[in-house]
Amino acid sequence: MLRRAEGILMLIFSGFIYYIIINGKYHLYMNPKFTLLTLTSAALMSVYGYFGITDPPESFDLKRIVPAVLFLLLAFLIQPVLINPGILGGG
Amino acid sequence: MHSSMQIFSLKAVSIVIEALPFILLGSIISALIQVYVSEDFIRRRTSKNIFKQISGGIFLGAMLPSCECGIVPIVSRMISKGVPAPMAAAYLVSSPVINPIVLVSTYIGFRSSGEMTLMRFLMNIAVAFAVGFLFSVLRNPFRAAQEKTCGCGCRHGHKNNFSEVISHGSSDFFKTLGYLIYGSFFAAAFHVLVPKSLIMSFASSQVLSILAMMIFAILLSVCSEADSFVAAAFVHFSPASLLAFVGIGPIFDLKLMLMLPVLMRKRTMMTYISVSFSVIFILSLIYSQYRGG
Repeated sequence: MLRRAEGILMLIFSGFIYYIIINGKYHLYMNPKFTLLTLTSAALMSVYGYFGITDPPESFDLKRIVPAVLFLLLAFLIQPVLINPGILGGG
Repeated sequence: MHSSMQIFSLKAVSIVIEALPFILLGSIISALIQVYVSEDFIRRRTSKNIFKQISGGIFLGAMLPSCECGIVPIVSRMISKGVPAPMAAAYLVSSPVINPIVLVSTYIGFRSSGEMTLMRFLMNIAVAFAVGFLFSVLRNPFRAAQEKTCGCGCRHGHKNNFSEVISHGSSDFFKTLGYLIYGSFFAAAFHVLVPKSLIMSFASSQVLSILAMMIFAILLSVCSEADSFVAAAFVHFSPASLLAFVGIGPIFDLKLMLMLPVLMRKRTMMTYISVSFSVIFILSLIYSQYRGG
């Protein structure tokens, strides 16, 4: 299972991109004219993620997955604030 | 405090999303080189003349563009395939800049300034030659040992070339992504913590403005496709200092600071940074004199 961590994280990352595009939040991060480019990137990452799960690397390396985990935590944790800026009291 | 956290998060995530297509492209190119380009092919087509090697690297940079985010796995693969160090170094410097996409974005970003576009192009060529000659005299400037075997941790005996490309590509991508993420955290923190008024205080001095914009470019870590738009926003700074901003960014920034150790030993990296920084600083000063300050 641990050997599949990279593939799983890439799938979650691509899922995050699909989420912000579908929910109309892409413009908060990037100019909307780059939506198709980002969407294509997410699709390729999904392919990487799929192969990362079905054909995982020989060994698990914790150092490699730490930045991705931190990034995804940050990206998902900020989402409630973007929906409701008043949630942190600062507006 | 809370809004700073929000800005930090948005900035960090934006930097990663902006760079994502380019590191993906870099990983694919790197994997294709790994699977389809043999060492013999490289050996038969590479000149022993240093000048021709550097020129070849620059030409390759124009033909095979890459953002600085995606350049590391590509150069790493080139080295493992026997590309001479001067050629790989010239490619490392030139690829993020002297390609049609970046040159057009430079032209547009600087309000249709052909002069700034030309100066950026020429400055990059000069740095590519300087770094190329430097790498021709350094002993083993690039890390190469780990690339002799398949260092991606994948299983050997892939079913076909396609699965091998995907396997190598995803491994390179994931490794580069880690460095990009850490770099984005630093850049976002700088954006939140450093007040713009501090940056603006350097605008009046010729030398300090060039130095300040170079350091700002390193810390901000904007991709070469977008940096001219960011630079042009600094209307109080001289054209020479803006040129220095777009000159140093694609060669060295916070993201690359974390990625370059994959390619080079620390000592080589410091020499590479020093030479690039010096050449860009001197050329920017000369341009400043030419323009009359």
